[in-house]
Amino acid sequence: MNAAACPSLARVQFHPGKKVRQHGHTPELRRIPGTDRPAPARPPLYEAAKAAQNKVMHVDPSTPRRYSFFEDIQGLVIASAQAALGIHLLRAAGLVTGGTAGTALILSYAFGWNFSATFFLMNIPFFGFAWYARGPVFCLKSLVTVGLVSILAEVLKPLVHVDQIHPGAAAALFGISAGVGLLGLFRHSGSLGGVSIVALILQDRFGFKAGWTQLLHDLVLFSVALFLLPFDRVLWSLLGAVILNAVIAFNHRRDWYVVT
Amino acid sequence: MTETGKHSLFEDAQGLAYGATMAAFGIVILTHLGLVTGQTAGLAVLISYATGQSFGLVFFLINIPFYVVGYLRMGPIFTLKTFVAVALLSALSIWMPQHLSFATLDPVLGAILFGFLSGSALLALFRHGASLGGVGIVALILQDRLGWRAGWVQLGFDALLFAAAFALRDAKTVAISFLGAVVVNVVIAINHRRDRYIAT
Repeated sequence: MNAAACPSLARVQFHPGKKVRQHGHTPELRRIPGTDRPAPARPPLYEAAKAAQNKVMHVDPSTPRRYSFFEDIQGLVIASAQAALGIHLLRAAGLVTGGTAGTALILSYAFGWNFSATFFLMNIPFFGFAWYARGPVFCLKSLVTVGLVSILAEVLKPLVHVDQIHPGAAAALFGISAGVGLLGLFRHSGSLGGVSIVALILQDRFGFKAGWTQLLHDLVLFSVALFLLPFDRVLWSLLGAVILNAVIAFNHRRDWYVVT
Repeated sequence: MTETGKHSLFEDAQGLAYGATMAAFGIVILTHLGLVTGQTAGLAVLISYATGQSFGLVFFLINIPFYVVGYLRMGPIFTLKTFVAVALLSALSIWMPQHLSFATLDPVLGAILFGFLSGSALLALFRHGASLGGVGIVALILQDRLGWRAGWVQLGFDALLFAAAFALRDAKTVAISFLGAVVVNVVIAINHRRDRYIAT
């Protein structure tokens, strides 16, 4: 559900302590039923209760609680660790995935580049887009998460050396670990940058559905992978990408968290 | 939005599958490093180290008596879900090491990863109305019957487990295990939404 489909939802934000401006609530002149005479004013408490009721109608108790700074930090750290672990397993099995991380993996396989450096450098232009699309906070959070994932993926290399891993196990563990990592990032309004931000901008500007942009990008990516990787690795990669997207599709609560 | 915390059968199934798989991954890391942890899984790990049996088998067996108390205290659906999660975790923890093994795994990083993985696995299981077994439920019953605080009972149980761990493991391993257990509990403490999900 995007902002266009449900503007009321996208805009609802609860600012404790701030006055909630009430649109469309104009005090109508009440009249005594059956007469033209104005009714006596209601006691102030009644008006206050009514106003509170109106507010509650807009602010459902289950709308997202604002996260504190500390909650955001731990959310971004744990989510980045899970995403990095997923990428580490993927790399150990020689698989790829979609999105910018997938492009960085393919480049690292093809040219022997370091994944973390490639991933971080590739994302730099997208941080500009992130600022443009969602403002400085989103940009900063994306920068932090992309940086964390890059660092952690590098840290894992010497500390966790995978001896052998079945590509199916790698695909499944990657899918759920990175899927939940991304859910965590979304809930704390971070992102893993790149293609999804461009997709978002294209959607806002030209009405081109974000999902299609990402799908096209991934189609190109997997086509390239067909030339670089053995066929079965491409199929296992596809399984991992499907699991990742299924985890996100089934668990991302658009009613609680409005994000990309 | 009124059905806060209510999930369809399919949503619950994938939630349990996620929780059990991630928890199994955590256990693979934990047992690879020879670390211990708290709660029912911790007891199973200790027994498995002491007897040489696989964690999966021990964990599955020691959970059986708890289903009775689980049924009485939490009802049939919770018990069934917990059974499914425990069975899946047991099976995966046996199956996974055949397909995934580590040449090197840093113990401290392993303990932290174990904490992240099992913490988020337990969060998912709680959100979908399941748990990973016994001790928590017994603690709740003792709280009901005798007025002992459930948190204290669980803490006491874990203290006993870690004391026993000193007999089987060296002090450094126990200390690193303690770090892992702290990470699990911090992840749950910060992220478990009691306002949305009421669980053990």
